[in-house]
Amino acid sequence: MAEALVGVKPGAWPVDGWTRLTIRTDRLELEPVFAPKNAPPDFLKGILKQLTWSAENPNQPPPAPRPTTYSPVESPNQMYLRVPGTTLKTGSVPAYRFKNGTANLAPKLDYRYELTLGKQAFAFTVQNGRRGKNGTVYGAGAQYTIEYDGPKPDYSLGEFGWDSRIVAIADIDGDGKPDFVIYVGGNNSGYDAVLLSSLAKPGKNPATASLHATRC
Amino acid sequence: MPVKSLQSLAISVSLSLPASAAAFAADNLKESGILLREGT
Repeated sequence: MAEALVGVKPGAWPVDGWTRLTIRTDRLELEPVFAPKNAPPDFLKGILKQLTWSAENPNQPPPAPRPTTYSPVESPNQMYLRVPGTTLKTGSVPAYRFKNGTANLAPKLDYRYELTLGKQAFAFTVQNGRRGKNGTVYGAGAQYTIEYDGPKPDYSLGEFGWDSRIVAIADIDGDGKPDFVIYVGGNNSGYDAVLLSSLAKPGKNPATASLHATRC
Repeated sequence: MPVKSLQSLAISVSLSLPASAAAFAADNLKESGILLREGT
């Protein structure tokens, strides 16, 4: 479930301002989603229809349950993103390609990746649990620290740092800095998240947007 | 179209919220990023 939509009745879901993200091996394709006046766009109609069906059939399993091996990396990688007040790029946007030839990576924990996207140098580190001043690990959960010109945002994303994946790194919001699309796995759960650089502040940050899912 | 199993959970949460919480959640949407994916 998209975190921002928890508690919002489907009829109140926003119908405009959506961008379709299609993640390819070497790029993201960003396309504004057309919404008829005062009506949801087609992709949202489908989701709302599913919600209605589920409400009317509370004791029945969904017609097409999620596969137990669900992984967003393996499934068709198309998402829909809406960020009020932020203009996203449109068209084809190059993604960082790792040595494996793809935009995907299961990052090593506690390793500082130093990379360049276009002309922008950046680095990121993924940890499981936070670090005290003496480097002692405490707590748990995926910690993403991203470094580039400007703020050095930290994201405490919960679940398991060792089960997180980079889905793509690309400049989605057009500020010249890398934005991250990631997946964080957990115990019978997991979620996709988008971390936009243009909304990053120094220190702790929430994910710009996230979509939680449960493996059944 | 395939269904995400979690979405049935989502609507039950939505319907059980008090009006004030629902209003807060709806208001929160004005500033929040949202990520969705069609069912797989």
